[in-house]
Amino acid sequence: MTDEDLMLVYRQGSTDAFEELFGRYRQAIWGYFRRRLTDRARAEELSQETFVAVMEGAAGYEPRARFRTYLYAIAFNLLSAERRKMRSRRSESLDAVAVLADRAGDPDANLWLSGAIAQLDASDRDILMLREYEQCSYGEIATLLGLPLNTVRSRLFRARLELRRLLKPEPETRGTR
Amino acid sequence: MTTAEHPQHEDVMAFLDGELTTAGEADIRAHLDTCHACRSLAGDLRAVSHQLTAWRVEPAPATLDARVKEAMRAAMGKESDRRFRWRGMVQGRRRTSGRWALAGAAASLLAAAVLWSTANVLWRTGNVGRPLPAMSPLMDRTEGGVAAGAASAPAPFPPRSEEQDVRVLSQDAARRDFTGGLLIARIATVHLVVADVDQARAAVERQVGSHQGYVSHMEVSGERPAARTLVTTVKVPTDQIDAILAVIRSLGRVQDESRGSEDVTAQSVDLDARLANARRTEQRLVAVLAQRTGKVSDVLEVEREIARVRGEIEQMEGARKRLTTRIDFATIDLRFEEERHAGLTVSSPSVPGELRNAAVDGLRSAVEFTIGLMLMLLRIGPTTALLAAALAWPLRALWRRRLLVFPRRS
Repeated sequence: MTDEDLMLVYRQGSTDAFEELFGRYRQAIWGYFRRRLTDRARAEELSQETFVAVMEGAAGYEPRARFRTYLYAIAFNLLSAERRKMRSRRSESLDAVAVLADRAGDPDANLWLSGAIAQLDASDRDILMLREYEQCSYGEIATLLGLPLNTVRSRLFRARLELRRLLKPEPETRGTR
Repeated sequence: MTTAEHPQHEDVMAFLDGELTTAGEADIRAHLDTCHACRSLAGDLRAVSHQLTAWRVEPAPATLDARVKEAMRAAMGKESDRRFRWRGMVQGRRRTSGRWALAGAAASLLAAAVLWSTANVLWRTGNVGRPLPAMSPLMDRTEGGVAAGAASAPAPFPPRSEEQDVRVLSQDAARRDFTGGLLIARIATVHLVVADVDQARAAVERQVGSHQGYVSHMEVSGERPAARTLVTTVKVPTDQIDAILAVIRSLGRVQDESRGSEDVTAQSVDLDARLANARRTEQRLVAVLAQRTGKVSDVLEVEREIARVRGEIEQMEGARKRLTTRIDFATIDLRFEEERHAGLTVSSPSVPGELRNAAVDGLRSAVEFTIGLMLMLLRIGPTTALLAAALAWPLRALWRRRLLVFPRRS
């Protein structure tokens, strides 16, 4: 059964359908926030809020687009709101990529990669991460970010070339810190 | 496409991402077979994507599952309730999550509290015997004890705000909610006319005590022979409310009765989630403090933060206990009025008594006047003497000058 079918069944009141959807996407949504926020607790809260928003929007759900696009759009909006809130508070940044910007070259693979990604332009970074980690198509990314398809292509290409430069030399050959 | 005619680099990337049409894919594949430069570019792009896969994320926490499933149960409960109550009506926007939901719930509770207190004030100030115009919309009102006691026919559903989500249910519907896993705080109000307030008070205290409840507030007003009024609030175990109300109704003639319920599931879930987060934050801070070897000011900063988080936790724990009490103990507001019996005795004081009272009043007035006069003199005396002393010399000089200009005729 497709995601869209499950949503329609959930709309009729089947909790099993929602549990199936949650099982399919729980790790993906968790990863989406976890890679973008340093605060683990906040990532968990936003993951929960994403699924709660799906529940609340189920009554008005129409399968015009793929469910995963709909789901990531909710997650993206929540993340954008979170970033706005952090900026307005001028608090210590919990944005993972911002915090990790000065950690390029860290021997830990996660920190090394996230540090390199953090050095990308913000818009390029969003596109790259949606493609590489959420496996979104160019069209889905264009829909999520409200950008023309060709802009998505060109920025994704630019981000990958820049990342190729940043990720050299290979982790094994990097000097010790 | 020849080796000399390189495709756009972005097309090579799109080929690797599977974003080209079948024809486009065939072209790029054929070109890559013959073009070393483009093959190298494709290799680099593949390598970047491969390297990025090394950034792994730990598995989603089990608490996320629990929280989402809890939210789902709450949502389904609301949905079934909505269908039950609003079938055929326009469905409004569901509540939003996070801060807006909290703000809305707080505002709704505040509004409910204001309405409730207003209703009580009106009641206590004598607007009894009539339906309370400002009664909270949470309440399901029935006129007369018989209708309230039967409670078989569901009353018309009052308007309900989205965020407030306060339920007004018949007994059967309330039971469904209990079995549905919702957390319900129940309230009831009863207004009776009784023969004797003292007997009613004793009966209420006896009943509440025997059902492991307690009296939260009690107030008796009026004096015999006038009719007296007893206003009391009692808390009883939620599952005992029906039994206690049945006994209370038998104490007199029911003038007015209201029943209501409030769904506090969302409040409870939200409070638990915030409490869990605060506890985790505290644990992290304690761990940071244990490992901290930096400046004293940093250590103090962490300690201050721990104290702040601890304070929040204790506040939330207090709120949790209050919420639990509201769920476990139903609130019953009672108002007993004594039946008024017209008195036939007319008290008229005797003439000697009147004369004595007049004399006493006159003496009291004289004493009060004397004391008042003395007090006034004491208050203005020093100031008057001071002014007189200050003006005495200039007045005397003026007087003498006047005598020089207009000498007295001898």
